[in-house]
Amino acid sequence: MAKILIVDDDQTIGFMLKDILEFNGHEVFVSQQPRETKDNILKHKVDIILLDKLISGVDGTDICQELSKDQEVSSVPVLMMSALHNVGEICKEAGATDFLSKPFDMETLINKVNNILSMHSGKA
Amino acid sequence: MEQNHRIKELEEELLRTRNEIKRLKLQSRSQKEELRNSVIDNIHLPLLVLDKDLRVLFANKKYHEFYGTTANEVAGTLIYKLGNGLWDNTQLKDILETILPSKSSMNNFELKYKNEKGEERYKCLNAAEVQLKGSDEKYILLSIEDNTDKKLAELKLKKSEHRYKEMIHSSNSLIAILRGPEMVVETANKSIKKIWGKGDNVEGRSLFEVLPEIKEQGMPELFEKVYSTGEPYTAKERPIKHEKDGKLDLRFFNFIYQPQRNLDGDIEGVSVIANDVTKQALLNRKIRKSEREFRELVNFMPHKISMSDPDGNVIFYNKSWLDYVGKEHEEFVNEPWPLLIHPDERDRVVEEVDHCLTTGCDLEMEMQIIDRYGEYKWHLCRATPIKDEEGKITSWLASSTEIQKLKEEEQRKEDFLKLVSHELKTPVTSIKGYVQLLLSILKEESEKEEGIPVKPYLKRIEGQVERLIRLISEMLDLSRIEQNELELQMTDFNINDQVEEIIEDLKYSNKDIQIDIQHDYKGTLTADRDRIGQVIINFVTNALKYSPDGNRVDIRIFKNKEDHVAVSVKDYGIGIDEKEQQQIFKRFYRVAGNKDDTYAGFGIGLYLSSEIIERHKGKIMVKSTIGKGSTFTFTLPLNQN
Repeated sequence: MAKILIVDDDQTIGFMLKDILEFNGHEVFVSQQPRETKDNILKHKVDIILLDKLISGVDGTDICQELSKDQEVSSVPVLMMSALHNVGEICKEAGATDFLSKPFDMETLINKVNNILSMHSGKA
Repeated sequence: MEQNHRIKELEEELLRTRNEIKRLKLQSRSQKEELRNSVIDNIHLPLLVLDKDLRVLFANKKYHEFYGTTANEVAGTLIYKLGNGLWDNTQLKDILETILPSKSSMNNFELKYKNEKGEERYKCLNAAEVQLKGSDEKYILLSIEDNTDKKLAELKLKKSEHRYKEMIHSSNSLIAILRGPEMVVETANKSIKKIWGKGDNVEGRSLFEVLPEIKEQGMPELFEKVYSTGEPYTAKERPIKHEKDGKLDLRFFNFIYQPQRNLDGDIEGVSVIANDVTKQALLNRKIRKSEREFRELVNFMPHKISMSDPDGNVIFYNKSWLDYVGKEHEEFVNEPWPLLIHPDERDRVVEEVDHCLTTGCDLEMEMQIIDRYGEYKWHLCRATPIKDEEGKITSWLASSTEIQKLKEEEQRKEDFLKLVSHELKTPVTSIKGYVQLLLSILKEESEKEEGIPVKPYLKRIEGQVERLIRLISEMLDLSRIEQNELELQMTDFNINDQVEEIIEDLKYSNKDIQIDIQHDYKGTLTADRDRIGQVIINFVTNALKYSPDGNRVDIRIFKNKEDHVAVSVKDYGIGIDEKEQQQIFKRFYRVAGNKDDTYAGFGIGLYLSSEIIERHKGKIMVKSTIGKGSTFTFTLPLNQN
């Protein structure tokens, strides 16, 4: 079991992800405020972040970059998501551990999350 | 006695006087003779005096000089035997022996002969019979004039006159020579008479009497001017009407009116040399008319049209161009056109234009062109060479169409499409997530919902969601192709594994299908894996969609050429009409038929597939028989390089 923070401005997606991940045994926090990501990470001591690329006019890659440069939180892996085409590479360049293209198969989501967790803390 | 002496004296005196007279007489006779001989000898013409038997009594000095003879040689010789029989001429014989005796003179008898060099010579002979007073004896005086030079000059003149006349009369040009202020026709050749149409007898009459109809056409003034000023008048394609059979016949002429001067340089007439250029003139008029119309058309068009020389130097811009740049033609045509192009595109455009100028190929490019207000606007520019009969480029024709609004609209459309598909993806992601979560929960608590077919229904929802996702993707892909943004992510992958994976996934959601895969080729290739997968999915879903009565699909992977791999998908469905086989790869084309509703979709699947394959430098094709099924095949080069 791991603690997962979901940052997405679309509530439906946030809750869908929460439901799936909780069903798979994780503890999930959903946020629609990208600016509060660092606080949320520290507050909930999360193991992984699922970060949307486009959140209420804020570019997820900027957030990702800030996090990866911030020593307090840079160790937390980020799985970025987007419905945009061909942005995977951009996200990875910004410091994302992996990228998930929307819409996705539940299986792919679970696999990606588990892979990242096992690589980072063995909490899969 | 004294008287007798006186008489004797007188008689002696008389005798003396008589003798004196006699002496004087004799003296005067010999003086006369001498005078006569001297005169004869000084005559510049060779002269012969013949006796009645035509023997030479004597010849003058000139004769001897000319013929190289001496007095002794010729004296007493028969004329016919003189000069190697030069005078042995039947005609001369006839004159001397028959005509002369009866007519007593012969004037200008012409004798033609050939000298020892074989050159033709001419002599003019004059003969007169003379009889001395108180004598019956008759002599013949024969003067011989060599008039070869005169004769030859005469002949030459005659010839040239003949030639001149021949030239005038046989000429196709219309020629007439008019004399005097009245313009009396002196000469008119056949050609001009035919055009005048007033018959053959026009000579001796004033031109304006022959052709009264030209009086009203300003012609008398022209003739008068040439006649009075001596300045020639030239006209090109001048229309003149001639009356023929009571009707005015309009024809066009190139002509020159030239003053005719006599030896003193005074003008005594006007010559007319004209050519009937009616055919050419009518053609020229047509050409000019058509040129005028084309110019009007070109200026009327909203498109910017220009013409360039073979080296690409612009020589003409139409009105639309001038309006756009706000300049006069003279000014604009001398400006280098590349300055009109946006600096970012200038090099590319110049390079492309140079390429076309060198190879003679057509040009088609989009570029931004600056307007009179300094704003750049998008244009579609096309240029094509105009060639002559030998295929040599004589000029370039270019048209530029403003597509700024189109570009903006296109951009708006693309932006909208992207937004729409992005916005559609969000709810779809959510639905898909929940469906899959539910299916996953049901898997674990499988038989809880007894009697309610929840799982199959959820499966159907999942299938439809997948379809919706595909449609959204297609829409996005289409916009990417239009924007030329379809980028290929090239990787090396195993084609056999990929086909197996795709079929596995398809079977997962559709258990009923029967798909047979034949791996005649096994190996990897370099391509965009996802895009090729998209093509295979498109082929297979089409195969299933158009096989309403069966679910059998045969897939074959094989090498169709040494360096090409092919994937074919064969179905046993409804088939495609031959006419439609060429259309199905076109955008938005859907196979028509009664069952139209059955085969949903945007009609862009095959279009996308063909675009993807073409961008891989591959080929896409179809073979089909109505009622028996279709085989779709694509081929790809194993190595993209």
